[in-house]
This record gives sequence, C-alpha cells and structure tokens, in this order.
Amino acid sequence: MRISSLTLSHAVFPIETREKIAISREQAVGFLSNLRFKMEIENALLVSTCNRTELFLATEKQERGREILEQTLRQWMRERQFVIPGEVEELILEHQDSVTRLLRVSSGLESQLLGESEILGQVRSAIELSEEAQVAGTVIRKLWEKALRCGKRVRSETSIGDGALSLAYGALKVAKKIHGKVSGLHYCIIGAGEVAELVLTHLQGIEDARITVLNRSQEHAEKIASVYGAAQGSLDDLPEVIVNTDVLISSTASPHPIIDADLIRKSLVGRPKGLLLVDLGVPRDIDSRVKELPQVFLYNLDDLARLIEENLDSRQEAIPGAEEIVEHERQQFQNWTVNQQLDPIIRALRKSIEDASEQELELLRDEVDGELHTILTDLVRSLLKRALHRPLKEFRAAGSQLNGSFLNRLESLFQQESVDEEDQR
Amino acid sequence: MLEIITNGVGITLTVLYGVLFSGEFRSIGVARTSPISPWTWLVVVVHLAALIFRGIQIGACPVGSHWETLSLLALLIVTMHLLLASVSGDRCTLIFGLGLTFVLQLAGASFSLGDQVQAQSPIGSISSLHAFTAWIGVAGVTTAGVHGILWLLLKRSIKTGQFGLLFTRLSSLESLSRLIRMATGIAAGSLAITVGTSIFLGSGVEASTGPVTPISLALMGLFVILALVPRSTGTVTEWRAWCSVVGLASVVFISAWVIQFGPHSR
Repeated sequence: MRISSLTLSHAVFPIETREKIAISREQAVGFLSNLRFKMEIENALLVSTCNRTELFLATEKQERGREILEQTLRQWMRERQFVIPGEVEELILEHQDSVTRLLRVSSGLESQLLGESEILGQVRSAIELSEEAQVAGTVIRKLWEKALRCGKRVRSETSIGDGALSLAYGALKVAKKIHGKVSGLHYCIIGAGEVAELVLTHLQGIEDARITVLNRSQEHAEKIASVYGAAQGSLDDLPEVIVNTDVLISSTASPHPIIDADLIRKSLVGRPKGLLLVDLGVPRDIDSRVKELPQVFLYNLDDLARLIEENLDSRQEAIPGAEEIVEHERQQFQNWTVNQQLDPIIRALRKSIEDASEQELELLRDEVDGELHTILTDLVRSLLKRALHRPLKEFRAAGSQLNGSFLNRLESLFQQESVDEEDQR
Repeated sequence: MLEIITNGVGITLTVLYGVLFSGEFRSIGVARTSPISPWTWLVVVVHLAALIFRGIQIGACPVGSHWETLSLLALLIVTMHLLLASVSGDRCTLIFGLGLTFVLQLAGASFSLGDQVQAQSPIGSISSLHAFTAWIGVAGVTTAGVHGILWLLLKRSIKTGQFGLLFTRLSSLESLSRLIRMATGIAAGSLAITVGTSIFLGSGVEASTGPVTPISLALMGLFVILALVPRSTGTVTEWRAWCSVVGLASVVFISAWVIQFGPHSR
C-alpha cells in the first residue's frame, strides 16, 4: 500500500482562504464516506483544523492515490471558490513524504505555533471520522498510531513543547498590554469545543478571573463550565455578557460570523477600558469590520501566531531532535508496511517447504516404526526451523530495499508452488 | 573661575544623563519593573544641588539664562519621570524622560553661561515661585505629552498587530493612561500656582513676551479640565492623550520662543 496526501495549510493559505477550505465534522464524514463508496477507498484520514486541511489516503498504487487527491482538490476549488498559488501537483505528496508529513504534523513541527499541543488532540480525533465513514483501514490506522506515538515522543523527549507558547498565551499577552494585568478581568469564552477547553485550562491559574462560557448548546456549556468553575449561558446571553467583558475569546464551528459590529458598538457605550476580541474560529466568528471600532482590539489566529513567533527561539533549538524522532518513526512505519508485504510471502515459502517435508515424511511412515517416525518428524521440523530462521530474518531486514514488483512476483511464485504441490497430491 | 566650575558641572551632568540613558536603553525589556538605580537618583541630586547653588549665587530661581532654563527644565522633567515611575512601579517610560533630559542638557550646554551671568539681576521670592512653578507646569505638560504620544503609539501598535519595540518596551495602555492623568494633574496644579502668582504680582500679561502668557493660560485651562475629568471611558483617555500631545506642541513652541527672546522673568 502507498500513502498519498493533500496538504492545504497555513504555510500556503491565509486565514481568508483557510476558512473556505475548512471542513466541519459532518461534512468530513460525508466526504470520507463518498471516498469509500465512489472511489472504493478503505484507508483515508482527514485532519481538518483551523490551520490545515490534510487528507491522507492509502492505495494499492501511488498513481491512484494521486489521481483521487487531484480530483478532490479541483472539486474543492470549484465548490469553495478558492485558488491555489501554484500547481495542483505541488500540494500532493507521495508515499515517503506523506508519511513524514503526518508525523511532522502531529509533532507540531508543521504547526503555525511550533510545538503547540492542540494538534495532537486533533490528529487523535481524526480517526473517529474515518471510523464513522468506514475508511479506517489497517494501513491508515497504523500510520495514525505512529503519528500519535511520534507526537507524544517529540513532546516528552525534546523541549519543543516547553514554555508558554499557545494561542491562549498570546491572547493573555495582548490582554496585559491593554489592561495592564490579566487578573481580575472578565473573560468570556464562546464555544465549548476542544480549543475553548484549552483556553479555559490556561485561564485557570489567573487570580480573580471571572469566566463565562457561552455556547449554542447550553448543555455543553454547563458541562465545560462546571469543570473549570466558570459561569455559563447560551449565545442569546451574549449582548448582556459582553457589556462587562474585558477579553472575549471565540472558537466555534459556526460557518458564519456570530458577532457583528453592531453588537460590539452597543457594548462600547460607557466602557472604561478597551475590549479585546480573540477570534480562534475558522471560519471566523467575528465580523472583521469590528476592528474599525475605537477601543476594540481584534485578533485572529494569524495575528496571534505572529506575536508568538518571537518566543520561538527555545523551541527552534529542539527541531533537530524532533526530526530525528520523526525519522525513526517513519522508518518503523516503513518496516511495518514492508513486513505487511513480506508476511504473505514468508508464510507461503514456509508452507511450501513444510508441505514438501511432510510429504517426504509421509512416504517414510510405512518403512520405519512409529517411534522412529516421530523422532524423524521432530528432527525435520527442528532442522527446517533452524535453517529458515536466519535467511528469513535477513529477508525481513532487507525487505525495505526490495522492489515492490519483485516482492509481488515472489509472493505469487510461492503461492503458485503451494497450489501446484496440492494439485500433484 | 565660578563660570568654569558651573560649566564643568553642566557638562558632567550632560555626560551622566547620556550614560543613564544608554544604560536604560540597554536594559530594554528586562528592567521594566525593577527599582530605579540609586545612581540615577544621585545624578538628579547633584543636578538639583548645582541649580540650588546657582540660585543662591544669583539670588533667584535660576531661569535667567538659556542654560539655566533648559537645565532646570531637564531636572524637572527627569524628576517627574522618576516620581511617576516610583509611584506607579512602572519605569517603561523612564528611558524617554532620560532621553529628553539628555537633549535639554545638551542644548543648554551649547549656550555660553559666562556671557549671560552679567545680565542676571536678583528677583523676588514670589517671582521666583512664579517662574519655578511655571517650569514645573512646562515639565508636567511635557511629561504628559510624552506619555500621550506613547499611549497613542502603543494603542496603534496593539490595534494593528505591530509587535515592534514599542509593543515590547511599553507596559500597557492602562498604565500609560494612569501616568498621563498623574502628569496632567501635576501640570494643572503648578500652572494654577503660576497664574495665581502672576495675579498677585500684577504683572502677568504686561511683562510677558509675545504669545507665551496666553498660550500658558490656555494650557492651564486645558490641563485643569484634563486633570479633573475622571478616567471614565476609553474615549476620555484618548482625548486626554491627544490634548497632552497638543500641550507638548505648545511647550515646544514656548521653549523655542524663550530660547529666541528669553523668559519674561528675566
């Protein structure tokens, strides 16, 4: 099986394009199901976050994967009305690069904020979409497992995740520039998803912080608010809550802005201090015209990333170590895929030799007594085991260097031999 | 001999302020909340001692020459910045105060003290108070203006997401807003005393040179309003910052006028 991938990320596309590309959970399951039923794909993984939409496929032939990804990209460009800066082919990666890509993504090496931890959770939950769409095949699942393992190793064995470097950290840094402190402020969190939860985690250590969680589904808001000791409400409460809010952080999956300039303008009447609005949603939750209002400071993902980039020095130093781990895990996945291909060949080879020896022993059954036959049977089996052990070990070790078509030929040869022998019998 | 000593002290002070400024510049982003070095206070005390000595020597507030006027203004500005930094615990703007002080000292040193010593004549204590508070007012308006400019620049930097030196160096809009309010309060108070003493002297308008007095009166009126209006909304702070900048522009004009024609207390 060969892995192919399509990469649409912050490195190439600004937030205005990324919000057109972003795929909701429901859309993702529908899209992956289509791949299964229309393209007969059984191994697919879609990682769609605010900063990236990456599709990984495992197909028998590399060309097939590339062809499907090209079609997909062209279809998205038509439907979602965006253009890419270069050629379609430039965004599609082949086997080795695709494997490395997913490992790097989960390690945070391809993140807008180097080493950020949110991406690992997003990769972890990506398999649920594949399972729901029934495209979580053995190969893609194995790659996903490797990606998670790699991400964990990189964070535990290197300093890439060290230091306060996250979107919430960036938001708090700006809040401090406006209000002079982060304690005693009123924070309003809109949304109750994973990002909102991460933001709440960051706010936990702040003294006298008043936190209100607002969400479309009040049930979710209640759940998350109870965990973090925050007040909660529905989105209908927003006009009332925003009046006393100092920092508003929004991260919903809404396809349209939920906060418009009018709402903010009304909340500014009599406000003694500035209002910081942090939009972590893709598509964006806050109308960008809000930025024009006095006393309002609007930050989106790209703005915060630029701010935090200045703190990247210590993390940059961890890149070589992280890349070594990625390479090690990539090699392991490569070995696994080769073994996947070698196992049937080895089984066929072992079976053909064992069958031949069993036949010869069967011929001796009438010529020697039972006890001697048992001894001979054990001897032959032991000899075979010892004789095959080293060659097969070497064969496995050299497997990654063997040509795919040669392995296919070898597999069919031994399987054919087994069939011929059975026919002769 | 005395002129040589005074000039020597003036030049030494200029060099010391230069050293303090460069030290503050080198600690950008590190020492924003650390206490002010005793060496800084020592330089200010030496400066104050030099001006007191000069005042005793001429028997009046030392504002009779360009050198003295600029040096007094420099002392008042640096003292005001140090006081604001000490009271607020935020020394992010001290570098600008020290920079301005250094420039004023340098400008003062470019005038010859010796030529003007002969022109000095003793003035009364009320006139000295009038002159002294007038220059405190000027220093207050300048300090408020500097903080106003910094507030506006920091606001622009946060609003547009430009994370340059000012964003890194300056503490926060809230802190700068407090400092502007304090500086405007000091300026308003001292300018009120200035106007009061001129009424007492009965020579406020008559003895003035050109537009200095009307501008000073207008500034006093403006700064009294700025000092009295509470920090109720962000818009008020923005207005206060802009008015402080206008005040600073007026001070620059008054300073240029005084340098050209001399202070009216002369």
